[in-house]
Amino acid sequence: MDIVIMGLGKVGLELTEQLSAEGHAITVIDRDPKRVEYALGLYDIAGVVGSITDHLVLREAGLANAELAIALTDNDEINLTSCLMCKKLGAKNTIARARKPEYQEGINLIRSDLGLSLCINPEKETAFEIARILKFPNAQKVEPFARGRIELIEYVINEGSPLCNRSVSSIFSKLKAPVIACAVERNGTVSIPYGDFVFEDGDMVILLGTSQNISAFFRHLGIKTTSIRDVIMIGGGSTAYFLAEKLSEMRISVSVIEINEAAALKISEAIPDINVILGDGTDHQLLAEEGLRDADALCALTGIDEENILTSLYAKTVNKSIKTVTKVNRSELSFLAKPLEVGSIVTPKKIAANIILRYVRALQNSAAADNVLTLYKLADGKVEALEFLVNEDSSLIGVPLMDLNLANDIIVASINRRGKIISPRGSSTFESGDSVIIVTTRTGLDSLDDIRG
Amino acid sequence: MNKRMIVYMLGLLLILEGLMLLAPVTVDIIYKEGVWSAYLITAVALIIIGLLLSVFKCKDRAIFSKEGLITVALGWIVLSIGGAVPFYLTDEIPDFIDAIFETVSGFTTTGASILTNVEALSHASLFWRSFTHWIGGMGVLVFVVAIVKMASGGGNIYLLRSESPGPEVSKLVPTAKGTAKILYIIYIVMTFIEIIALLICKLPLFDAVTLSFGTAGTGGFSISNTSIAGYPISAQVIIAVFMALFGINFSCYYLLLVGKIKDFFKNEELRAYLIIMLGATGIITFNILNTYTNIATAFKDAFFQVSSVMTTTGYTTVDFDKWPELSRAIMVIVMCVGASAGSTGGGLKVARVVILAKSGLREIRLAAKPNRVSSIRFNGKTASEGMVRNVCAFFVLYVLVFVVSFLLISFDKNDFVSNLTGVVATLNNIGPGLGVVGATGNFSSYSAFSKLVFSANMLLGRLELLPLFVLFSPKTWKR
Repeated sequence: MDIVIMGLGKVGLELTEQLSAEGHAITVIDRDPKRVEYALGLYDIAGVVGSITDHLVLREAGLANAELAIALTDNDEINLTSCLMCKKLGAKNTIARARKPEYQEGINLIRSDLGLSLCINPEKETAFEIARILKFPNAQKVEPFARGRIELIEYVINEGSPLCNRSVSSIFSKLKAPVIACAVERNGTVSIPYGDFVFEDGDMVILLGTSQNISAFFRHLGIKTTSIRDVIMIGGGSTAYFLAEKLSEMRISVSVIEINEAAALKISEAIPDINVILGDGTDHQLLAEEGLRDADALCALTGIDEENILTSLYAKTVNKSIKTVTKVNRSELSFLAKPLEVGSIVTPKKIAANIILRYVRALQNSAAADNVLTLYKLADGKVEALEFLVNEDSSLIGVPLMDLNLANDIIVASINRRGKIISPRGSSTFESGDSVIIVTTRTGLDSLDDIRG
Repeated sequence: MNKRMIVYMLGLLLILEGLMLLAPVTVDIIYKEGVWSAYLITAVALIIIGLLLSVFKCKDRAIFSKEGLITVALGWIVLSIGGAVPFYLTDEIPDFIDAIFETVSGFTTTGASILTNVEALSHASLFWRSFTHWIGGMGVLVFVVAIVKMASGGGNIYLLRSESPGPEVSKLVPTAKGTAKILYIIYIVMTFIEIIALLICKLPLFDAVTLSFGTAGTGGFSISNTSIAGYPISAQVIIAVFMALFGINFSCYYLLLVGKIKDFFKNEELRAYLIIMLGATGIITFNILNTYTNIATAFKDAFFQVSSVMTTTGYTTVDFDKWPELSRAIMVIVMCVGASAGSTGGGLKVARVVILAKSGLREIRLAAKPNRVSSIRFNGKTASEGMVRNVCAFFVLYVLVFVVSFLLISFDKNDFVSNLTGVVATLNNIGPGLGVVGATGNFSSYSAFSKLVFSANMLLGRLELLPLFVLFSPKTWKR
């Protein structure tokens, strides 16, 4: 697919990497020749230097024939204007980043006039992701599937965990409420766990099941599942704003610590229900005063990655049972922070890139036989969970799974038949209209037929 | 430095060369001159070595500028040595240094020869000489990039940049593979059209194919001792026109393909290229008119020769060494200017000459008004200072290489003009110079040492200096 990415910021580069790796023809535009040169050296793409609202630049980048234009500069209005121009030049679909809170509702007024396919706000998406994580405090990461009926969670096993040193079959085969272990990450490599696989300390396992079943699973194993009631947030930027809004809807008590007076005032005016404290989030005295010892969760959301990581580490030393969520912008740092047990790490550029990637996959498949309804990248993109719609002419219909000769990097995790969730067994079959969740360590799986070995 | 990846890519190159050597084997099966075994042995040996080098796929496929430059430099040296083996084995060129000179001359599309009697060669060897022109013209690594997935990420662009001529190499389409494919498709189609056109002029198939290969790569190896002079006028005109066409930047043809006809005619380098070519032709036509009976023949010979040396092909229809001094001087000047960037031709390249001229004019303006802000525009855009600096530095290196080579060649017994134009003809990948190495002469009278210097000049010229400098710079190999 011909895709033009406009603006080579963090999200732009991340997306360029992912989309060019999937074999799309990418052209990037940026005002800074150095950034274009940098991207050209890293990926097999074309680059144009110039303004994304200059029609000559857009023409040179081949927007007249582009399937998709994605505007990701840090200026909302430039993105929207550029998307409108791209659409008029002939681009079939456009995606704009608009991060100002006032556009959240307002964009709907003009969206159809601008011909915008998708409007994305990385801060808001990050906030939603954190809210999901806080719903399942045991998990590192939670993703909703099948319109929220199924959830996918990343859970890290430590020495004290009842899962440690037990095999997959001894844990999962006798469950009344079925939960599936889809993938395990150990020392950076990901594999699919089969019956005799034994979990070890430090493994990160990806579990899939309905929300109730997962809760039942944790209860069954005797893992404490406390719900979050009291959250401390460090940093009062736009991610904090969206998160505070969401959490106060969920009746969770929120304290925001912000060092800048104007920003503190702004967020307290916008969401009067929450507790805004003016001060330095790295100040131990202040954290103690704001009840770090008793808080259920701490979200480090400042703009400085290092500060976020260190604050989370400090919180863990003061309060062993606290759930921490750390925002890390640079993926290089999240790679280093992972072994430090800072809890959940969220990277806004990856979240935004995943949403766009999911859109691209869906776009690509809209004409194909099988539709990808949802796509999630887990374990730093090493595992993908995809939800496919089974079309009536699929060759897989009616064949029992054990006869399908599935590839060994694939697991059929769930079948959703008219709202009913079926846990697949060897005798299960696909039917037309089912939505099927496939978890795979292969990247770029885009047709359900490819699951055969 | 990713040495394993360099070895892997060299392996692929050798396999490719081995496969290419199967073409002359086929030719000999048709003409039955008994040289097929030499070509087959070399082909099999190269394929085996290539497979051994490339059998271990490396996990880390990331390459950067340095690996690209080194692969290209080493690749071309290895290709030249491999390609020289059959000439030596068939005993048609008994001296191995001569065989190397001939092959380097072929791959670098120079067309300079050490052979005194070309017609004595077997058909297979004649074909192989011309075929090396065709492969070397667009570039071997470009071909490999077009058919297999080599480096990961953006690495392949470094190979294209190191191998394709010109100050600024950019992709036509977003992927390196797609770009390489388009370049080769244009190249193949144009070559094919020329073959058909020559067949229509009643040339035998073998002549049409080998001459077209020589034109397409802007090489210049002919299969007859009199170069092109013995062919009908119609064939001469076709070859002259196609030489000029292959000297045009291939991205211009891409503009035509995608329907940007306006942009094609606005291309500044193309305009400069045509102005220089037609200007030189005009002056020479009038300068040589008194030796001709009519203006049409004079124009035809002038155009053929200018087109031939400017695109650095080196085919000849007349001995331009016998022309008046003015015409000879113009010939040497257009030899140095060379063809367009991104074409198959050599020389300094018209784009560089234009930028150099503009940069010189800017310095004059700045000398008068030091605070004036002035940028250089090229092709309707502001040329980046990095590119201008690169072009100036290239020119300095070019002159340096020229001077040093000329000094080294002067140890030999030949005269001043022959030595000087011999360096011009090899460094710019043209073929014939003036004097001993003129249109009717050849390089056989030079010593082995001089031949090696000329060979190095041809490689330096074809790869535009930098890859070889990087390869032989001690810093590259220091840990």
